[in-house]
Amino acid sequence: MELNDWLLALHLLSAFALVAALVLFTVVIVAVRRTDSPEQVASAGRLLPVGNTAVVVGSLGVIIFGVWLAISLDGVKVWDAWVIVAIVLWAVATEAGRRSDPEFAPAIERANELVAAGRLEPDAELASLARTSKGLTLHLIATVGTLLILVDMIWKPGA
Amino acid sequence: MTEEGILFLHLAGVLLFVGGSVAAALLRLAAMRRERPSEIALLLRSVRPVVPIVAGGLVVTIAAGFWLASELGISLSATWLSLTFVLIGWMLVVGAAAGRQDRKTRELAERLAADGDAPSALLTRRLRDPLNLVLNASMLIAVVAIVALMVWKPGA
Repeated sequence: MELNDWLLALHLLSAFALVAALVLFTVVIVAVRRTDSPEQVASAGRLLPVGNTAVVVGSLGVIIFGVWLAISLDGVKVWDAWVIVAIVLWAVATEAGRRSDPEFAPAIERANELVAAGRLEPDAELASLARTSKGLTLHLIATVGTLLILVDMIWKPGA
Repeated sequence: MTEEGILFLHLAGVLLFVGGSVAAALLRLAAMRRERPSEIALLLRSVRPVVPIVAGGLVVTIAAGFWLASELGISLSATWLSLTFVLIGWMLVVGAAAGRQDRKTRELAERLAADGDAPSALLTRRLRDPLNLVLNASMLIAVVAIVALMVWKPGA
């Protein structure tokens, strides 16, 4: 069992955690956008910390073990075009994902306020906050960016 | 299609299958930490849209995997592939059994939510059923084992 095999296994497991977080965020976003109920938005919002933990573990694991692997493997250099493209895509996807989180925060806060006040009926302001197009766009950028990293890993442009 | 194209399909399928499975497991774990049936029902309902992702990912993984093995001339009777098939079979059987149990738990949570939404000892017991937890944990262990088989290819 060589070090490179371990690095590859940890790199893959990190990628799984990252994709799991993206799936979870998609479920939360779809759930939040499909309801006007403060209770349901607040409940869905409580899933975000779980997703945040998975996305931090996945994002950091992918980049740390990926760069380590690039340094460790004989035929790969960190300055190879496809490795740099992967790092740039990772940075774009990570930043887009990080910025999408605060876009949904006002809806979650509003839902929590309404639930705390005992106002459980559908709320127009909550519906408007939950259907943020900026948050959805940023999440889509993070998802597409992650998919493009896989494309880059397979076809290795410039290699 | 080129080998790269098939490998892309295989890995995309794996990412969807494993990512979806982990997301479903996280939703279930989150449900275990709630008491109100309406919240538990919401979390277990959220697993439903993940199921097609998991199923689709598994189908693409297996189909592209066979295709890739054929293109690369890898024998399907190789030890590491045989072990992978056994683990995939295990996940299919266990996934179906655990999924059926989870569906009954969700239906119970929905009934309780509609009937006053009071915490229920029966619902908590169903969510924390040791057999169901062991089955779910065994699937995650199988995923890690498959990754290890793909990386180290014992017997190859």
